[in-house]
This record gives sequence, C-alpha cells and structure tokens, in this order.
Amino acid sequence: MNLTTIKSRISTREWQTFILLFGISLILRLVYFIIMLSQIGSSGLYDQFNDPVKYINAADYLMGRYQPGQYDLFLVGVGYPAVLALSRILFGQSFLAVIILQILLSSLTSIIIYKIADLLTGNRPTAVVSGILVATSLTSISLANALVTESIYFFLFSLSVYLFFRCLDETNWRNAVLSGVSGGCAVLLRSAGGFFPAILMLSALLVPAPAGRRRQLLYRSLIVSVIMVAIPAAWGVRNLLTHDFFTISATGTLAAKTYLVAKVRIEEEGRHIREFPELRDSLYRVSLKHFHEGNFRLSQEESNALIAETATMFPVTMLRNFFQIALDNMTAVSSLHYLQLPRWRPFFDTLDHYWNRGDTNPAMLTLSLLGFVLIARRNMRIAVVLLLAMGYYGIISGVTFGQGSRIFYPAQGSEFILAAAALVFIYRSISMAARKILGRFSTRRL
Amino acid sequence: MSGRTSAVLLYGSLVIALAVIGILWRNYDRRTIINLDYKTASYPVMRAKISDSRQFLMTIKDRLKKQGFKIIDERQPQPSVWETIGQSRGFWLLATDLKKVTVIDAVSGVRGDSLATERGYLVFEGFHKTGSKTFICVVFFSLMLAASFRANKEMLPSVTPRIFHK
Repeated sequence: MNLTTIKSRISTREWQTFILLFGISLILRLVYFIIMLSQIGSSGLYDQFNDPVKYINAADYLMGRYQPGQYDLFLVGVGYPAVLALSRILFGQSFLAVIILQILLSSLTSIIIYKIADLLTGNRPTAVVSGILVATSLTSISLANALVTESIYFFLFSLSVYLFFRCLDETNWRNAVLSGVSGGCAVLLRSAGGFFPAILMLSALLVPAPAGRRRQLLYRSLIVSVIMVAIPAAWGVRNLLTHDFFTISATGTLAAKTYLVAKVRIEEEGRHIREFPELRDSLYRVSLKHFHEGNFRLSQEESNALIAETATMFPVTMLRNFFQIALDNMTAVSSLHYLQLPRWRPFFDTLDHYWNRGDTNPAMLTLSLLGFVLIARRNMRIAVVLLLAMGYYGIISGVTFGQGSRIFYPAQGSEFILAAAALVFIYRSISMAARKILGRFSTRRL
Repeated sequence: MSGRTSAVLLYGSLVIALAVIGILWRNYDRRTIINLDYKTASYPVMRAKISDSRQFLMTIKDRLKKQGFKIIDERQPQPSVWETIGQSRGFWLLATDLKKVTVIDAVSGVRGDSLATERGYLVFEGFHKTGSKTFICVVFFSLMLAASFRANKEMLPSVTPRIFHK
C-alpha cells in the first residue's frame, strides 16, 4: 500500500487529529528530554534507579562483553536488552538514540489509543480526549525519557490491540499476524503481557458482532493469541535449554517473593515494619546466590514454593495485601520526574502538595469507573472489553509495590478511553446546566 | 412526583448518606491511628535523657506542629506512655496523613548525689494514611452516577463500535 492510497483512505480531519496528537506528544517529550539532559546529563540516564543497570548488564552479556549479565538477562527477559545491544552496535556507547526512539514511539502511541477509542466507541470527542490524555500523561512523558521497557512495550502492546480489533472484520490475515507478532514482541519486553491473549479471546467473545460472525472472530483471536504466545515461548525454550527452567523472565516471581510474600510474612509474624527492607533484601540475596551458582531452576522453584507456602498458610492476609497493592498501583502517581528533573523539585512538590496530596491519587481511576458506567449504559459489551484490559493490569500489578505509576502504565490505554468518556459527559452536563441557567437568567431579564 | 421533587429527594438522600459515610470514615481513621501499636508499626525517632518531663512533652508537640501537623488528640493510656496525635491539615477532608507520636518513659534514675530524677525517654512515630482522598472520589463518583442515571440518554457519550462498519 503506497502513501497515496493511505492518504486517500484517511480524511483531512483525521490527519489533523493525528498531527495534533503526535505534535503535542512529541513537543512535550522532547522539551522534557532537553530539560532533563541539562539537569542530569546523559550519564544520569543510567543511575536514575536500579533497572537501567540491569538492562545494560543484560545487553552487554548479549554482546559477549559481560558474563555476569546472564543473571540479569534471565531476570528481565531478552526484549529490552536486545534493543539496547542493537543501539550499542549502531550508535556506540550512548543510549540517547534509544531515548529518541522511545519518544517517537510514545508519541505514536497517543495516535494508536485515539484509533482504538475510535474503533470501539465510534465517538470522536471521546477518542480525541483519550489521545490527549495519553499525550499529556506525566507517567508516559517521564517513562519515554528513561531507560526502561515501558514505552516500547506500551507502543507494541497498543499496536497489537489496535490491529486485533481491525483484523476482526477483515478477510485477509495480514493484520491478525501483525497483531500477534507485535504482541509477542511486547511480551518479550515485559512478561506482564504474557496472559493477555486470554483477554483478547474474551474480547472476541464480547465485541458486538453481526450474526454468524462469532466463529470467525474466535478463529482470528486464536491465531493472534497463538502467535503472541509462540514468540516469547521461543525465549522460554532457550531458557529451558540454557538454565533448565522455562520462563520468559524471572522478574515476576522474584517480585512476588521479595515484595508480596515479605510483606505478608512481616505482618503475620508480628514483626516490626522496619524489618521489611531487611527481609526483602535477604530473600533477594537467596535467589541471587542460586543464580550465581548457576542454579536457576532451584532459585525459581524455591521462590514458587515460598509463594505457594505463604498463600496456603495465610490466604486471607495474602489476598488482602495483594488487592491493597493492586489498588495502590492503580492509583499511584508518577514519581520518576523527581529523579529526572531534580532542579524542578520545588515545583513538583507544590503540585503534589495541592493536587495529588501524597503518592496516590484515585482521580483517574474514579473517572474511568464513571466512564465504564456511562459506556455500559450505551453498550455493555464494549464497556466490559475496556474494563477487562484495565482489570488485567490491575490484577497483574498486585505483586510488587513502591515503583510509582509505571507498574499500571500499560493499562493507560483503556483507563484513559473510559476516563475520556466520563470527561465528555461532565463537559456536556456542565455546558447544558450553564445554558439552562443563562437561558433562565436572560428570560427573567426580558 | 414531579421531576424536581424526585431530584431533590435523590440528591438530598445521597448527600445525607455520603455525609454519614464521611463521618464513619473519619472516625475509623482516628480509631486506627489511636490503636496503632508503637511496638510493631512505629519508628523510633528520638532517645532523650531529660529531667523535666512536661518540658519534653511540650518540645515533642512543638516538633509535630513545625512539621505542619495539627494536634487533634492527646492521651496517656498508661502512666509511663504519652500519645500525641496530629493530622496533616485541620480539616479531615483535606488531610492526607495522621501521625501518632508515642513517648515512653523507658529509664528512670537518680542523677548524681542530688535527688533530682533523670528520666530516659524513647519517642516513636507512626503514620496512617487517611481515606479522605478516596472519600472525595466516592462522593464525586456517587453524584456523577446519580446525574448520569437522571440524565437523558442522549447526554451520554454515544457508543457505536466501528469494528464492523469501518
């Protein structure tokens, strides 16, 4: 398909929206990038927090430069280290090219979210507002400027979802295959999306479809899911052959062990809360010791056994903590900008003091739940499809905490579409009320 | 029943219900911070050897005020334990944190050859996040929900999926 064909398919108004969303996103991210570099320099990209170091170690291992990086590779998976390794090959030691790539992909994501909203709701104001919310999200802007997986993952994941909904009504299989490939690559970057094919299958069952088409939808979702599972599974098989354990990345199990289990144990054993970091670090060291001895399987099995044992011994506390952590992650506010723009700390402190008033803010979650009700009154199936994607990342996030809004970030797509519907309704209600009041006022004057 | 009467009844009962929930929530927060056990859920912040206990308790209160907390309760559950409870803002709806400062008279002794008592104090601080932000969201959600159910369906954002009608 050449550019002229694409242009003829897309209306002028659509192009204007694309340019608006992409422009807002790009300008905000680039300005942030320039200010960030002036404050922390390019070296600050690596030592903002622990994660970039892990990815770089794993990338160096992939390039055959740093043998201990194999532990990090086992932990974080292959996707992002491969991106960093490619950047090293093409652009040398600096990772600024990766940040520029993330900024571009993050800007494109706002267009994709707009398109998903447009496909699912057919409501232009809701679609535009959801795109603007993604474009202006501080979480999205700060993550695009950090050496972490989220921006590329969110782009690939959103692209996969968009192509999935597009392929449902198509006769050729191109978009279905592309959706699976995009989703599979996303899972290689972050294993959190590993179970998302189940949500896609459920969505295929739920989306309003013409009579007699449901079977076709299920076939297509099955194809997408199989590809989406097969790509990361190949890496899992590599880990099985190399480390005697099938996993895409070990970070999820390790997080559940060192955060959730540690928190439950502290609570149930009546220990002081200040002992939590000590217990968390000691559990981490045990896994690390096994890794360094080459016992990857033992480390994973021991972690799984500890998680299972804690869940069996303290099921109520485990569940309560799990949902409490999930809720905290769903309402967590961005905190990465404090590290990236340290000289702007007083400004962000003031903003947080008056708006967020702490490290969580349930405003967006509340708006999205309201949006769910509003959309459900129009089309229950679409509302449930959107809520499923949001709920999926909420549930997945229940094992780790203290990482700000990045854990729940991939749910931004559906969360912002639902919130946008609520904002559109609030705007209409206010403008109608204002018209009524003004009308009554002017009638009285007459 | 006219539309206006039903609206007044609906919103009136909703506001009353939300006010009751708010009062219960605020009381729950206060109960939680009062019952917070300094042995397992507070951090030791200070150890002091001072002879004048009243002066020391005043210092602790001033410290809490300087941190921006408004003192909402002072208690002495045991003869050697003093508790001061502060709220990050005066009004619960705007407050995000509750803090309990527990002062323990840990060591007592006699100083030198005079008979003045020298006392050793341990100070613990424990926190509790208030539910005020969540409550505000609950209020907003409930009122908007009521508005959405009362609103004409045309007011709601239209949803016409374009998956099969591109």
